[in-house]
Amino acid sequence: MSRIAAIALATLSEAIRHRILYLLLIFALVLIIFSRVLSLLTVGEDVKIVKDIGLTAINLFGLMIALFVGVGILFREMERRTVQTTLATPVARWEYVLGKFSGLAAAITVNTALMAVTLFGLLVWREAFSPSMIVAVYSLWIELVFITAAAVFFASFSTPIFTALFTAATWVVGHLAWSLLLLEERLPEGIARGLVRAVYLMLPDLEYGDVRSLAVHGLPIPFERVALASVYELGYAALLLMVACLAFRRRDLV
Amino acid sequence: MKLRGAALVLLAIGLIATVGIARARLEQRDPDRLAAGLLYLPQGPYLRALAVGQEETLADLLYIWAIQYYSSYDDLSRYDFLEQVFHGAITELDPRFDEAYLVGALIMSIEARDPAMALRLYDKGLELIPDNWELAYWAGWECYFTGDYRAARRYWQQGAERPGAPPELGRHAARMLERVGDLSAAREEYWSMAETAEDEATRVLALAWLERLDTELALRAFEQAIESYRRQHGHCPESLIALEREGLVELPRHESGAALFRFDADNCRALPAPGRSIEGAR
Repeated sequence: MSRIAAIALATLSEAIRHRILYLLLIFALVLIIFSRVLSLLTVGEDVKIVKDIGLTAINLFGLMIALFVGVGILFREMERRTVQTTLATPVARWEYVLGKFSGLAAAITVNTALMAVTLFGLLVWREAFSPSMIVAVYSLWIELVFITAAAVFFASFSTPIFTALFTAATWVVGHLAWSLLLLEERLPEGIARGLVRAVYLMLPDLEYGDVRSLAVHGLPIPFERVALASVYELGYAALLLMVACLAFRRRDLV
Repeated sequence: MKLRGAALVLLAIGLIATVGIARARLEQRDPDRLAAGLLYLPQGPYLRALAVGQEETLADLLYIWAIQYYSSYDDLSRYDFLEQVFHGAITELDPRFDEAYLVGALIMSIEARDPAMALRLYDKGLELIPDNWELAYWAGWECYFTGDYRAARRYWQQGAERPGAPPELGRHAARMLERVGDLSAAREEYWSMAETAEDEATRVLALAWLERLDTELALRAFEQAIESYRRQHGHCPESLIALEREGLVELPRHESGAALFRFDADNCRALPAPGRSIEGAR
């Protein structure tokens, strides 16, 4: 456990030193603050605009951090061959994978917290803060942790470019999985329909945990939905990490 | 060398001018291309797919753009895509965006002068936001101004049943019965309102309307009675009591016995007694 923690800590400090991280973070913070300016261009509902853009900034920049910073960190040691030094010590490959994931998840957590604090500060200033916004940010954080797990999963057997592409595709698919149900409705009963259904069930559906719309419109957020979505996304992430550990065990690092 | 430099500067200026002129010509040729582009947006769930989980933000950005676009009066064809923008795109991406329904319908009604289009947008909002009464309130006024009092009543009744609706909606709905000419139904509704009102303003208004309606009904009865009297006797009655004596009308009286109406012999018509006005409760 301490070995995983040590790798996680090293990964976190490496992520914090990453220049792209600061660039993305600054862009995100500027966008969140700019949402206030953008809201001046509207009629009524200016707070809705601030909330929507703030949450989207957290979501999209979190994704970019996972893609650019995460993928870079995952492959740096392999490209420099320093991974062999790490694995020469009594560190199992699965511990290395979990340590890398934990470090990246911690970096994502710190960044999400920073962006959230900026957004909440803006909303408190506008006297429009509601606790449901915390739930919305929590749901986005869970989604980003899942995306980080997906990045680690693809990195365990793929190249940096494909890892970034596959991870981005996972996010897109995760938000579009519901559209397969539309396709299913249009297909006649048969193998094709069953196949579409099976694909839908296998793919991650990130829309379950997306409670942004409820939070922004001030609607009640069912606790059960958030809890179940967290269990679903974290369970799926754990599954991906398990496969990643197995794949990394067989990976030729020479 | 200097000549070459000057030629390059001239070339750059020429290119900038060419690009600028081409751009200006394009703008003149197709000023509404941005709105027209929205026609190519997919509809319904397919539009949501395009947003990849960022539906609300995309709706916000389209809404902000629409506010700016419809605030400009340069483009005469700007209303061609109005329904596509608000009904087909913004409220499709964020079905609970109540401000988009209100502002969109106002533009459709006041600017584009297409109340039917505005009502279609209100209807969509009322269906998708079941706890919103404001849309019903404004949809009611939309119908009221077009003279469709039955539809106005329907919207106001619908709004009055929604949570948080102010009592005005119920009052407006009741008044519409008078507008469509169903005075007895209006009378019943005013009574019911006066008896069940939870706020004093509604109760007082309902009683005032009831009094005014009763006055109007009585004046109509007097008018008919005077006409009958003239046909029978060939002249105007000398007083309202003469009408009662003939059994043509029953004179309404105050509890104290005071007359509620007087006879205007010069013009051969009944009038409310002093202190009682048919306009008072309007």
